[in-house]
Amino acid sequence: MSAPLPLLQVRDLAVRFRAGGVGLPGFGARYVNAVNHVSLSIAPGETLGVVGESGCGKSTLGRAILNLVDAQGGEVRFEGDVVSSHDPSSIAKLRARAAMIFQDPYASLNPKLAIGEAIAEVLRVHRKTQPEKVAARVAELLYLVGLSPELAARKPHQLSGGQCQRVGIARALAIEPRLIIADECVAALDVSIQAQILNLLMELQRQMNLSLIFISHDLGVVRHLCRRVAVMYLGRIVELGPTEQVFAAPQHPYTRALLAAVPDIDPDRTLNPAQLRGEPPSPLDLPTGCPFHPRCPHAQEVCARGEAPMLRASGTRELACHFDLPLNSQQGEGP
Amino acid sequence: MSLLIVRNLSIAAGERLLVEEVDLDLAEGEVLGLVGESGSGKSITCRALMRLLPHDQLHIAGGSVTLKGRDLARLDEAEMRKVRGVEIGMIFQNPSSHLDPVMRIGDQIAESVRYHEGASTKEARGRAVELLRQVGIPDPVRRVSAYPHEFSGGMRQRAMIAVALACRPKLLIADEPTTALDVTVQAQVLRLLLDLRDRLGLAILLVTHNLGVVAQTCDSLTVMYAGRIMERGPKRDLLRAPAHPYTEALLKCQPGSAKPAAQLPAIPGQPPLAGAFPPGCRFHPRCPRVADICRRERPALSPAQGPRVAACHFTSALRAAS
Amino acid sequence: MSVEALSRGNWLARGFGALGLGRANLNLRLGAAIIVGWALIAVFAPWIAPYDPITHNLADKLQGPSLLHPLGTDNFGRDILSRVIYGARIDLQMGVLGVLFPFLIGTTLGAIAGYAGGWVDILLMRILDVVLAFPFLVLMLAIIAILQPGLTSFYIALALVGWVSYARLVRAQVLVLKTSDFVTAARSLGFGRFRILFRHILPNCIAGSIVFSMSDVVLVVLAGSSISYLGLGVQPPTAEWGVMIAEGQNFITTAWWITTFPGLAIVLMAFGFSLLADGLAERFGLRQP
Repeated sequence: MSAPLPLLQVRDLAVRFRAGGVGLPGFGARYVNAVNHVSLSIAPGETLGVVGESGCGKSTLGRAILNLVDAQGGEVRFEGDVVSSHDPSSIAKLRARAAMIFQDPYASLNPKLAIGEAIAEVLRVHRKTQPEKVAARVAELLYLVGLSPELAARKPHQLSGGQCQRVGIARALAIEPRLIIADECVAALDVSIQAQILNLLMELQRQMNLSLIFISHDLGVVRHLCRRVAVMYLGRIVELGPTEQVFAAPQHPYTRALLAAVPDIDPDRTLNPAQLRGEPPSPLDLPTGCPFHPRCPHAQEVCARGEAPMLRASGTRELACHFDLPLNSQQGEGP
Repeated sequence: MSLLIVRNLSIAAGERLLVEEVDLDLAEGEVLGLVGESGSGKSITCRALMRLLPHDQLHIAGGSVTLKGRDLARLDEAEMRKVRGVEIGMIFQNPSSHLDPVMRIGDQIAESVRYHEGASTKEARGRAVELLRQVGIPDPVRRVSAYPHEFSGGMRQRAMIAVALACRPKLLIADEPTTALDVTVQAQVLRLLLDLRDRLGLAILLVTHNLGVVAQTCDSLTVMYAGRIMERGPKRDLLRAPAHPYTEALLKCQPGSAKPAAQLPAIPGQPPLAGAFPPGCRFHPRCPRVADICRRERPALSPAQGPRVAACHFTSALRAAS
Repeated sequence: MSVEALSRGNWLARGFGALGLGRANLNLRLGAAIIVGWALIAVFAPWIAPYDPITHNLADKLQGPSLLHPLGTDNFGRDILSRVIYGARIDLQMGVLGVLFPFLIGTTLGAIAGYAGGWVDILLMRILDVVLAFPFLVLMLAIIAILQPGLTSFYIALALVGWVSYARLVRAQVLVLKTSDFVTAARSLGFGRFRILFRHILPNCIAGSIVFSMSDVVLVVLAGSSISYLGLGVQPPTAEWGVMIAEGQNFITTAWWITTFPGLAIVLMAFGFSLLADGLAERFGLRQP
C-alpha cells in the first residue's frame, strides 16, 4: 500500500514562552518549554487524537500548527508547502484550508456579533460565495450542523453551550477546510450534548473527507473518535500509534498509568490503586533526561541522564522510552 | 440507621421551583453519588443541605433535612453555624477559589478547630499537621505553613479536604471534587476519599457528572434530571440495568459504550433551562419511549426492582423488555 | 390632553425602542430627556429666545427677574434668558466636539498601541506619559495661548490633551481581549489585523469609553467655561455660559441673576450627561444598577 501524501507534516516543532523575569540577559528570564521536538503527520481524511494532562502542551501544539503562537524551532508543512511566520502568504494559505474549534463555545464567538453574521464574515473574507448568495450559504451551513437557520440573528449568549459549539463548527466549515483542529471541543459540554457534537464531527468528517486533529484530555472520547493517537507528557509525544493498539496494550509507562487512572463505567471494576505518585513537574524547570523519570515506576539510572529519549519506531507505533517494556495487556479488553 | 435523611426537599427561586421532592438517605460509611447534567439541580441541592443558598435568590420551599435526628431546615442561623464544618464538611470543584489565598494552609485548618472547639493555638496546629498527613500531603510539618499558591492543583484539593475534615464531621459533601483535576490526580483524590471513608467511617455525598467516577467510588446512586430524581438505587443495579430511560440514555451516550467511530446513541435535544421545565415527565421531550401519558402526567417515584425506585410510567415495561 | 399625552408617550416609547432603549432605566431616560431638551433649545434658539442676545439695551440694564425679563438683564441690558438659550448652542457644541475628537484619536491610538505591542506601544505610551505629566488646564492654556484665543484653538488643545484618557482606557481593554478565545478564533480563520482590531476587538471594548466620554463632556463643558472665563475661549459678546459668568462677577452682590442662571444652566447640562453616563454604564452591564 502506498501511503498517501500527508496533508500536514510537523517536524521537530518547539514552542517556548517567557514566564517572569524582565527578559534581559541575566535578569532571571525563565522559559516554559510548552512543546519540545514534536513530530507528527496526518493523512487526508485521517483522525489523530492528541491526549495528555493539563500543561502537557497539547493545546499549544494545536495553536502552533496554525501559527497562532510563534514556534521557536521546527517546521510545519501543509499540503507539502512550508508554513513560516516570516511568510504571511503561507500562513494565509494555511488558514484558508485549516480551521480550529475551541473549548469554550461562548468565549470563542464574538459576543457582539449575531451568529449568522459571524459565519457570513468568514464567507466574505475568504470569498467563498458571491455576495448575494451569502445568506443562503449561511442558512445551509447552520442546517448542516443541525441548527435552525432562524437562529442566525441570535447573539451567542442567547444560545446554549451545545448550540454555540455547533456555530463554532459551522464557522470552521465555512472556509471549506481540509483540516480541522478541535481543541477540547466537547470538554465544556454535558455528556448528552457531547455525544451529539461528537456524532456531528464524525459525520462531517466522513462526508467531507476532513482530516481531524482532536485534542482532548478525555481518553474515552479519543478512543471512540480517532484512528491514531499521540500521547503527550510535558511538551513531548511519548507514544504515538493506532488508537486501538495503544489503548489495548500501552507501551510507554506514562500511557499505562494514564489509562489505568481513567475511572471505568463498569461497576465491577474497582478503582485501580493510584499508579502514579505526585503530579507532573512544572514545565518551568523540566527534569533532566526523560521528563517522566521522577514519576516513572520503571525508571533507571539512564533515564535521569542526558537528553530526553527521542521518539523511535517500535513496531506499528512510535515510542519515547529507553526500554521496551514487556507488553502487558491488563487494560486489554475492548470497550 | 441513616445519618442523613432528606425528604421532599424543594428549592425555589421566587415562585419558580428549581428542585422538587428530593429524597436522599445516607448511612455512615456510605458513599452516595448524586449524578446529573448541568441545570439538574444537584449542586444547589447540596448547598441547600448546608443551608448555603444565596439568600436573596434561592430558598428552601419545603421538605426536611434530618441529620442525626435533627431537622436542619428548622435550625436558626446560629445553630446552623455549629453544624457547618462540625457535623458536615464540604469540598468544592475549584480548590483555588475556595481556599483563602493570603492565609497559610495550616491556619485555615486550625481556624475552624479553634473556632468550633476552642482549642489552643498549639493544639490546633498539631491537628492541622495530623490532618495534612491524613490527606497524604508529604512533609506536613513544613507544609502546614505554606500558602495555597505553593501547592499544586491536586495538593490544594487535598488541603481543602483537610480543611473540611478539621472538626471531624461525619458527613462530607463533595461537589464535583475531581472535575478540575487531571485524570491521574483524580485517581489519587478518589482513592483518598475512599480511604478516609474506610478509616473514619465518613459518609460521603459525591456530586458529579462523571459516571466513571461514580462507578468506581459510590455504593448507591441518585440520578437527577431537571430538578427531580429520576432514579435511585444501588450502584451496580443502576449501572447494569437502568430502570429509567434517562439513566439508560446517559449510559449509552458515553463514548466508551459504543463501537469505535460508530455514531453514539446521543440524547436528542437539550436539557430544559432551570425553572422552565416541561409538564408531565420532565424527560419526555427527549425520551425515546415517550407516550401520551408522559406529556400529561408526572410519574411518581415507584419501586422498580428490589430497593430501586424510578420515576417512569413504563418502569415495569422496561424491566420486562430487558 | 390625555389622548395627546398618551400618543406622545407612545411615540417616545417607540423612539426609545428604536434606539434600543426599550427597557431603558430611569437614569438613561432622564439623562437623554435633559440632553435632548438642551439640543432642541439650541436648535430652535432664534424662535424661542424673546430678545436678541447681543444687542445692547442700556435702558433696561441690571433689571431683576420680571415678567418682561424672566431671568433679568445684565449690565448692557441684554436679556439673560435669551443669552442662556443662545449659550446652549455654544456649550452643547463644545461638549460634543470637545469630546468627539479626543475620543476618536484616543480610541484609535490606544487600540493600535494595545494590539500592535512592541515599539509602537512603547512609543505611544511614552508620549502619553509626557502629556499626563502636565496638569490638564495648564497644558490647555499653554496650547491655546500659543495658537490664539478662540473656540477652534480650544478644540485643537483638547484633541492634543484629552486623547490620553481614552487611549489608556482602550489599550488596557485591548490587551485583555487580544488573547481572548474569540480573537484567537478570528486569527485562526485567517482574518486580517485591521478586521480583527476594528470589527472584533473594538466593539467589545468601546462601551467603557462611551460611558467615560459622557462624564468627560461634563469636564469639557466646565473646562470650556473656565477658559472662556479666563478670556482665552469664546470671546465676548458671544453668549456663552462661562463668558456670562465672567461678565457678571462684578455685579455678584448687586445683580445675582447675571451669574446664577448661566451657572444653573451648566449644572443642568452636566447633570444630564452624568445621568446619561450612569444609564449607559448600567445598560452596557459595566455597573450594577
